[in-house]
Amino acid sequence: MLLEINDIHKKFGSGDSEVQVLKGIDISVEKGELTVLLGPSGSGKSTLLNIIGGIDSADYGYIAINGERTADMSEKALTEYRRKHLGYIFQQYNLIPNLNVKENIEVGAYLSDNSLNVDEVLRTLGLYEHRHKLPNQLSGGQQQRTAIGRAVVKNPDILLCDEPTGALDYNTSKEILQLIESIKTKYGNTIIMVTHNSAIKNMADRVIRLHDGKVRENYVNTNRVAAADLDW
Amino acid sequence: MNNPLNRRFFRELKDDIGKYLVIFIFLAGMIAIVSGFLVAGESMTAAYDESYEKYNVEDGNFVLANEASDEDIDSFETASQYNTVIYPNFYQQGEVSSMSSRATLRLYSDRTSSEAMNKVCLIEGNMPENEDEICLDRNFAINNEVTIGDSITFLGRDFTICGYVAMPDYCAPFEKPNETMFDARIFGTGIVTQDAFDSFDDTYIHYQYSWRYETTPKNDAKAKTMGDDYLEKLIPIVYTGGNSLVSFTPDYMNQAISFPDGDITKDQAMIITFMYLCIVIMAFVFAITANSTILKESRVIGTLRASGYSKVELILHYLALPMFVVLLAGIVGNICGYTVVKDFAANMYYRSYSLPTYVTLWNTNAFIKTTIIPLVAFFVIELVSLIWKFRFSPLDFLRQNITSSKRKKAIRLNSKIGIQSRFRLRVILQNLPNYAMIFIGVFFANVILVFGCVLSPMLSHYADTITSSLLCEHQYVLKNQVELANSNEGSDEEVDAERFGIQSLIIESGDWKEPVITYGIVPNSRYIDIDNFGTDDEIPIVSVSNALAEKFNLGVGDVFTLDEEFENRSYEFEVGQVIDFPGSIAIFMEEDAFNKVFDLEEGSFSGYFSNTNLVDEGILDESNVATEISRDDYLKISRQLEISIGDLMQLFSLFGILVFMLIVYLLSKIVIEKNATSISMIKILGYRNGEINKIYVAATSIIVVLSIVITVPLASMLMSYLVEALFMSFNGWIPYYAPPLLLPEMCGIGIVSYAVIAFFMTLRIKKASLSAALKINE
Repeated sequence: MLLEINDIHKKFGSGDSEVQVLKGIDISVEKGELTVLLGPSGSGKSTLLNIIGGIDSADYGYIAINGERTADMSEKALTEYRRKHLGYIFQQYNLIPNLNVKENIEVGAYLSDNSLNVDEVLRTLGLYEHRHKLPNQLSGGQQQRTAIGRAVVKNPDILLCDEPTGALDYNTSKEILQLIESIKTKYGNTIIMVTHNSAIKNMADRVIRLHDGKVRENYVNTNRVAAADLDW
Repeated sequence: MNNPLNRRFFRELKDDIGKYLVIFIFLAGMIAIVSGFLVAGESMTAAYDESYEKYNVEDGNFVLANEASDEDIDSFETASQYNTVIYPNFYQQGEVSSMSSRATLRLYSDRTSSEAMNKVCLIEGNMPENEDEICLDRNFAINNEVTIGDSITFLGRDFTICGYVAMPDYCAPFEKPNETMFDARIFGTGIVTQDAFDSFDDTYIHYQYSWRYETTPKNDAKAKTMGDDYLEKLIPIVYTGGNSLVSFTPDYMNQAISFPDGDITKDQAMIITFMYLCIVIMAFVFAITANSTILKESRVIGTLRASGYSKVELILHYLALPMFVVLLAGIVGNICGYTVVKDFAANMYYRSYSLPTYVTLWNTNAFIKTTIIPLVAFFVIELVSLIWKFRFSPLDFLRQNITSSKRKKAIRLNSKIGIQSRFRLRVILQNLPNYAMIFIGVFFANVILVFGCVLSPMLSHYADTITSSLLCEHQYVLKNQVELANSNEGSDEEVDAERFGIQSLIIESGDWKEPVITYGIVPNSRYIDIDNFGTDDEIPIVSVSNALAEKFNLGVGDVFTLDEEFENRSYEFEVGQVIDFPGSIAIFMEEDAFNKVFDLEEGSFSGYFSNTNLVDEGILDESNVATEISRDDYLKISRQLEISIGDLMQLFSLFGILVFMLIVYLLSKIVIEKNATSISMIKILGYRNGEINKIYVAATSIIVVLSIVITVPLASMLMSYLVEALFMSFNGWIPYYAPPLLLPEMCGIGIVSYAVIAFFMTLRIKKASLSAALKINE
C-alpha cells in the first residue's frame, strides 16, 4: 500500500460558523492506481486532496505515504515530502506567467534527482512546438498540458489532480484525460484525481465517492474504459 | 445605503499595514521636516524683517580714517538726491583675553537713544549700566564659553558680562562685509555704556557712520542705484575735507546684515526642491503600488464591474485609502513640523546667527507647499493611473488580461543557463518597471545621502589643505608702511618676516562680484614660490591661486579683468602660472610688477608675512597693524559651514537612508506580491524557502546592489556639480572632495540597509501562504 488515509477529520471556522468538512475518511491507495475522488461541491474532496498534498493539515487522523506520516512532519519535512513524492495539477493550471512552456516544465524537473527528459515530456505532451511561448500565449488545453508536464517531469510517486478538466471544454477535457492515462501507462505514477464529473470514474482503477464529508462509495472499477471512449 | 465596499478600508489597511505605514512615515517625516524648516525660517525672517523698523537698522555704513566734523556730517546727509540721516556708530576693536580662544571683539557704545541706529535686542541678562559691565553677542559668548557674570579683559580693561544681546547689524558676525565667511568664535561684538566707551583712547577706534535714507529703498536694485549715487557724491566731500574713505557698505552688500536672510532663503529653496523631488519619486511609487493593487484584485474588480459597479465608483474606492493616508500624514507632519522640527530648525539658525527673538507664525505658504501640493500631486497621479488601468473591460479584468504587455513574446534565454538563473532573469525582466523605479529611487536616495555625508569630510579636507598650503602663520596688513623693530634697512633676514604689497580688487562673473587679493611678492620669496614674469608685458602676467583658477575657470594664457572697488579703474592680467593656494581667491606678482601696475613707488609695501607672532614678540607695534590674517581666517568658511549646516547634513543622511529603505521596501514588496501565486505554486511543488529566495529575493538583490554600485559614483558626480554651483554663490572656493573611502562606505550603508529589507522579504516568502495558488480554484 502506497498511501494510507486514516480517520481524517477536518473542520473550518468556529462557533456558529463551524463547518465539519471531513468526518472520518479512511482510504487506501495502491501503487500505480488511478483513483478518482468523486463528489458534489462542498463534499470535501479538494480539502482531502490538499491534506494528502501536505498543503493543509487534518484536525484528526493521519496520512501516511510508504508508512511515513505527514502529520508528524515539520514544515521543512513537508516541503521535502512534496518535493520527493508529489506532483500537483490544478484546475486553473497555476503556471508561472513569466516563464515559457519549457521553463515551466524545467521548474518541476529541477526538483527531482531522477527527472524525466524535458524535451521528451514536451514531445509526449505535444508542446514541443510551443516550448518558447509564455502561458498567456497558449490555449487552456495547452496550459493544462504544460501543468501536467511540470507535475510529471519530476517523476513523482503520486500525481494529485484537482479538477484538471474543470476549466476545459469537452474535447480538450478528453485530450487531457487521455494524456493522464498515457502518462500513467508510460511512467507508472499513482494518480488521485478529484472531479465532480461522474463520467470520469469509468477510466479509474478505484472510485471513491464522497458526500457530506464521508466516504459513501469505495470500490475497484472492474469495467475500466479507455479515456478516449468516455462520454458525457 | 453606504457603499458596502467602504467596509473594506479598515481591513485593507490592516492587511497591508506595512505598505501604508511606510508611506505614512515617509510622507509625515518629509512634511514635518519641510514645514518645520519653512515655518521656522519664515517666522524668523518675519522677525528679521520687522527688526529693520523695530531696531532702526541702517541702510548702510561707511568708515572714515578720521572723525568727521559736524559740517562734514551735514554735507554727508544732503550729498545725494536721496537724503540721509547719519548716526555715528564708532567702535573699538581689539583682542579679548580670558576667553577659550583668541578672539577679536568689536565694541560699541550702547545704542539706547531714540535716534540710535542698529539698536540691540537683549536676549538674556541686563544691559550695561556701569562702566565695568559689558553685554556680548550671544553666539560669541557661547562659542567662547563665557557666561553672564564672567569677567573678560578687553584692551587692558576688565569687564563683567551682564547680558547677551543680538545686534541687528551683526546678525552674521562678519568682521568685514565682503569676507568669505564669518566665525562667531573668533569675532564678535559687544556693548558698553557711553561713559565706558569714551574712556578708551583713540588708538583702536574706528570711525564708522551709519546712514538711513529718508525713503527706504524697495529692493536691492533700487538700493544699489541709491548706494552708487551716494558713494559718488560722498567721495569728493570726504577727500576735500582731508579725510579718506576706508570702507563703504550699503546694506544690500553687507553680509553681516543680509547673510542670514539669504541663507534662510537658500535653505528653504533647497528644502522645497528636495521635497518636490521626494513627491515625484513617491508619486511614481504610488502609481506602481496602485497598479499592483489593481492587478492583485483584477478578478474582484471584473466581478464588481460585471455586477454593475461603475468605473467611477471603483476608481473612487481605490483612491480613497491612499488619499486618506496622505491626508493623515499631512496632518501629523504639520503638527510635528510646527512643534519638534520647528524648534530644531530655529535652534540651528540661532546657533549660527545672532537673530532677534521670533514668534511662530501660521504659514499658509508652507501649508500649501507641504500639504496641499503633495495632496493634489498624489491625487492627480493616483487618479490618472487608476483611470488608465480602468480602461479595460470587465471581461479583461476577469481574465486578468489587464497589462498591455500580455501578448508580448517571451525573450529567448539560452537554455544552457540553469533553470534557477533563467527563472531569476525572468523575474527581473517581468519587473523591469519596478526595478527601473528602484534604480531611480536608489539614485535619488544616494544623492541625498552623498549630500549628507560628503560635506563634513569635504570641509575637513579643505581645512587640511589650507593648513598645509598656508603661506605663513601670520600676515600683517599695515596701516602705514613701517619697518620691523630689529630689521636692517632692505633686509629682513634677522627676523622671520618678509614684506609684501597687497591690494583688494574685484572680479566679476555675470552678476557675481568677488574680492581678489592681489599680492606683490619680493623676489625669491621664502614664503611663496612664483615665477617672475618681468614687468615688460603690456598685459601683466601673474600667478593665480588654484582657488581663483578653478572657481572662474581660468587657465594659463587666459586674460581676465579686475576692478577697483570704489574707483573707476580696471586692470587686465594674463594667467602665467596657477599655484597651489586653495585658501584664497588671489593673484601674485613680483614686487616690481605690482608697484608698476598700481603706480606705487619703488620699494613700497603694505604688510609682512611671518611665521612668528610679530606683535607678541614686540617686533611690530600693534597700533601699526590694520589687519592680521591668520590660519583661523582661512578656516572660517569651513568651520562656519560645519556649524551652520552640519545638523542639516545629518538630517539629510538619515533621510537619504530612509528614502532608500522606503523605496526599495515598497517596490521589492510589490515584486513579491505580484508573484504571490507563483511563489505559492512553487512551494506546493516542493521548492525550499532558500531556493525561492534565490529566485525572487536574489533578483531584487542583484538589481539593488547594481543600482547602489552604479548610482553612488553617479550621485557623487552630480553632487560635485551641485556643490560647485552652491559655492559659486559664496565668497571663496571650496573644491568638491569625496574621500576615497566615502563611496565604498556609502555602498556599504546601502547594502546593509538593503540587507534589513531583504531579511523582511525572506520572512514574507517564508510566510507566503500555500493557499494563494489554491484560492484561484475556489
